[in-house]
Amino acid sequence: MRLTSEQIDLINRYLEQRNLKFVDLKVEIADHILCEIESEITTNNSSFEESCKLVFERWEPELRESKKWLLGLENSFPKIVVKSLFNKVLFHYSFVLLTVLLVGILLALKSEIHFSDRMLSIFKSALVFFGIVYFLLRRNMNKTKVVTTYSFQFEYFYFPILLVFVYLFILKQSFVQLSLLLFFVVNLPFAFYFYYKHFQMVKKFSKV
Amino acid sequence: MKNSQLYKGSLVTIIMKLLEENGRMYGYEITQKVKEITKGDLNITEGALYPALHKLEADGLLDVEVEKVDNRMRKYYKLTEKGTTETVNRLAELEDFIKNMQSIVNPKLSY
Repeated sequence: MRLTSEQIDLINRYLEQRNLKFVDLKVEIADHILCEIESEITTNNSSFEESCKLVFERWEPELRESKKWLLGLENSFPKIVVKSLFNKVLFHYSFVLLTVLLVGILLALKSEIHFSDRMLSIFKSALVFFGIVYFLLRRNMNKTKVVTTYSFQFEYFYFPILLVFVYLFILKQSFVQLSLLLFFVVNLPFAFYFYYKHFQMVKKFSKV
Repeated sequence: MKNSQLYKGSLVTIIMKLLEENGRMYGYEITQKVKEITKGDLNITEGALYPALHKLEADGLLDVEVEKVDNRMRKYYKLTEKGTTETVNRLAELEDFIKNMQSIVNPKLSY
């Protein structure tokens, strides 16, 4: 039995209330739940309301809000979203942070290292350039007004990067400046990848 | 997922094998197909299925298509070229595993 548009809207609204906001995950979870409700109505001749109750009872453990420190302490999402996001972000965050940390430590240990004023001004110019690139990418993503798991991953490092960016000009140590530049450079390919995947996903959904 | 650990390690291979046979499938369809093939013995939970699908997609082994079906959007998964090659490797690996397990569990039947 096919559900009506009103019934589908009702389920979609309920899932949004349960904090299922990433469109790339919401669509398939909603479709899965709707298929189960339709099957329940057809197989057991239940009403829409009864079927919803039964299906959502079964889904409750996966829809219950959950947290993982890696996804930001202030964020909580349904458990099924956390499981998918955690796998996605683990490699990205570990790679960027470990690379920067390792190079930062190596530079800090080399106490005799000295950068000329010219080098420092090149670092700062490069940082300004990468800062502008991030800003423009983020502005374009926000224009889509759609949240995907890719825009979440892009956004995750945006504010720390901005804070670091402002703080940077107060710091005098050249190795810290170089580490920050490295942070931008290592994260930039990831940022472009998330940017590309976000728009690819938005395009796929807008075609329908 | 039934019998947890034994099946968990094979979930990705099961998904890839089904996609190889059926071209493209959506999440609910995969769970139903597995249930049908195993006569209800194996039940893939959504909590295991979707993270596995998303991981395969992130690894470039699956591609996504979106279509409007029955007044709603449906996300289909299909194997990429890299995914098709990887399926062959994983199936060969699984067959080896089954053969070895057979030799250990039931030596008389092994070949």
